[in-house]
Amino acid sequence: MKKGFSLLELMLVAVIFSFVFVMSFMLMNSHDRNWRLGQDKLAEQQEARRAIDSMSSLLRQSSHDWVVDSVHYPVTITSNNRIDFYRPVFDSDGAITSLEKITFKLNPNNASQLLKKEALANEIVIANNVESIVFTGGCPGCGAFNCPNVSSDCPVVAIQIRTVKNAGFDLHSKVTLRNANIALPDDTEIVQPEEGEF
Amino acid sequence: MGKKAIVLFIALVIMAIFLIATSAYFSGLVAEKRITDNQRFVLQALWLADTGANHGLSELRERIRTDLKAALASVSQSSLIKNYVTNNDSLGFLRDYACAAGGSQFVISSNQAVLPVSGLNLNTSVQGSYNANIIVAANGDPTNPSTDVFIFPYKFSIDAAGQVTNVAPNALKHIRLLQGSFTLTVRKDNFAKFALFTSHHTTPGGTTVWFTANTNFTGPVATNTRFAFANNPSGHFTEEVTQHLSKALFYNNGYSKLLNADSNPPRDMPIFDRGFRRGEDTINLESSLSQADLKNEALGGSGEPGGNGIYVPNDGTNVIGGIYVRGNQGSHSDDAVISMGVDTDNNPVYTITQSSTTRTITVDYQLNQTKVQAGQVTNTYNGVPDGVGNEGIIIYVNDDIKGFSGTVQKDTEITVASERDLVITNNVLFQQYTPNPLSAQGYSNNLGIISWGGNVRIGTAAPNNINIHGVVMAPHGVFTVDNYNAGQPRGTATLLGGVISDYYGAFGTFYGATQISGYGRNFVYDARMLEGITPPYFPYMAAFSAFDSGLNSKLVWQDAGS
Repeated sequence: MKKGFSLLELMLVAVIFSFVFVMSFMLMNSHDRNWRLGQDKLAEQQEARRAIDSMSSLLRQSSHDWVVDSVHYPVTITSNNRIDFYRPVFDSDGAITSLEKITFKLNPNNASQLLKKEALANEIVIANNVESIVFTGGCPGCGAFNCPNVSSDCPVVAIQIRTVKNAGFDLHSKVTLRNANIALPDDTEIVQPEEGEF
Repeated sequence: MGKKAIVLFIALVIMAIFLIATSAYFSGLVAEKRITDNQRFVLQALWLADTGANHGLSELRERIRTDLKAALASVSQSSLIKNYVTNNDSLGFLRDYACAAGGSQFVISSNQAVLPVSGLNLNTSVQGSYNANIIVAANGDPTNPSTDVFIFPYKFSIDAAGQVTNVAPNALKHIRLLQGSFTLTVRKDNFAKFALFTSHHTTPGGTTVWFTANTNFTGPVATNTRFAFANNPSGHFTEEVTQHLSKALFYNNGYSKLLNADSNPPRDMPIFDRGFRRGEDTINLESSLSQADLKNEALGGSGEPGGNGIYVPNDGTNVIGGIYVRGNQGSHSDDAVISMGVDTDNNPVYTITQSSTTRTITVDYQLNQTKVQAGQVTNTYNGVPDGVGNEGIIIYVNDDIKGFSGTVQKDTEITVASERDLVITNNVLFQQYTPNPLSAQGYSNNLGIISWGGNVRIGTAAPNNINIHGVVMAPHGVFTVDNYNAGQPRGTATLLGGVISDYYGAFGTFYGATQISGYGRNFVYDARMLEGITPPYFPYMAAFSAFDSGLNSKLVWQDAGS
């Protein structure tokens, strides 16, 4: 005849099982939360990278200061978190037919959104969960990259973007404007929104 | 047994939890790395494409400035080039001449000439490559504006692609350099292109002239005999160096020897940035633009004046030639003195004295007039004394010029020529130049100084540390200093230009590094000559050459996608 378990043994086992299951649940829960945070962080990183790529690709083709019929169209950085510049539009022969104004800035109604406006098209959100964005210009002689305007002898724009979650994630990039000092014909069209529209 | 199973079960549960947690952690890491790698590879592809575009641009410049020039150097029949103009075949000209012997040529298709450029091994850790296509099209019809001058306008673009191969699919990026244009001016090569040319690279007495560590030439250097090099280093030459004879002379620590070689290591080591070619054809200083041609430009087609004097040939209303001075060619009593200046209205003024006669000739470019003052009488003519071909101001003296000095007005291109000796008695300066580093790049003032039958001499009255801006030519003589081996040291003679002479003239004497007498030599090449900007009516050579403009202009950069 087998000997049965005593009440004490049963209670001890129950306590141990309870402890193990509670610990397991807490561990699972914690890892699940961390995993979700990691996924969010990855998504934010990807979004920040896409935003930087979008800005870089357009900025690369720009100039620190286009001049059309003696009128200047420079890169303008406002409060370090808004940038306006002009990108060239080419015809099939590779000639520049017009300049389109591009603006990147934080959404005034939702500061975690980065907006892009291209010429007369509606603005679009190109990144969410943005904590801050900082644009600065290359200083004379490229001695530093923290100037409010882009120097003619250092046509570089520095971009720093920070996402909301896991606040250590910053993405930096320096973009050289490749079309500095290109002469444009006087009849080059300028495509830009009405003053104050954006 | 039952207790053991429970323990095993608990252990498995805990291990499973840790496994899931670890997997999630590594999964995040791997995803982050993949994203970062993708961005890195795309940027690497962009940089490779940029490299390809720069390589394409460099290749185009090399094709024009080296290959095309070298191919034209063997062309002396203008009909060969004129055919391309007549047939409106700018691309054919590019295909046939812009290639090294046996090298790849531009391929013409659909009104475009295309040259593929293969990527070099960049020897980096980046696994990838680039390629580029140079695409050239005619930018208007070629023209033949004057005898032996042909102009070919082109436009071009460069398509480049960069590819990083250690990722699947490969990271690919295309860019374009757009809106390039350049103009090729093909014409007879000009003697002014030389920083130094000698028919015989010795002093007139036959003494060897050694190039040493103090020798630096930034323009082409050539001789119809041989050069001599001493010490290590023994001169730095940034443009091509050519000589007729197959062997150069090397000092060899006092035991000189002839070698068919660029150097005599380790003792005599000149530095040639663009090579040292020996066995080249001789260059005949009897150029295609002869002394008679230059004289005729000054006389404006009119005959030799009946008497000695200073003339501005005219038809009573218009200037028809340049400025002509006739002397007796016998005694030196009527040798001319020519002084160049600039008046308060910024007009060039030429004061020419012959014996007791003085003429003050003022050229007004704004009004297109020339005023000739003789004593109290001033005659005004339409036009400027720029010869028949209107290339620039020409002063021709059929005798010696015993005094030459002054300032070349900023808008003036002028050649002063004598049939006999020409003596420089004071500084000869451009009105506009950059003093440090010495250069006339970007300015219009230009001067040619030619002695057809004699020497160009720096006279004893010239100041210490004299400055001469202009290209000096003495096809039957030397450029030298009077009494170079007597008296106290006179400092440095600085020349901004070039020297073309029969022999290499002495400027001073030295003992080791110590100057004993005369001038030290500081010859600075006027780089404008390599761009075809030469003094007016400066003598041409037999072969053709090409000069480009626009190839250094900035191109439009376009991101052409992935």
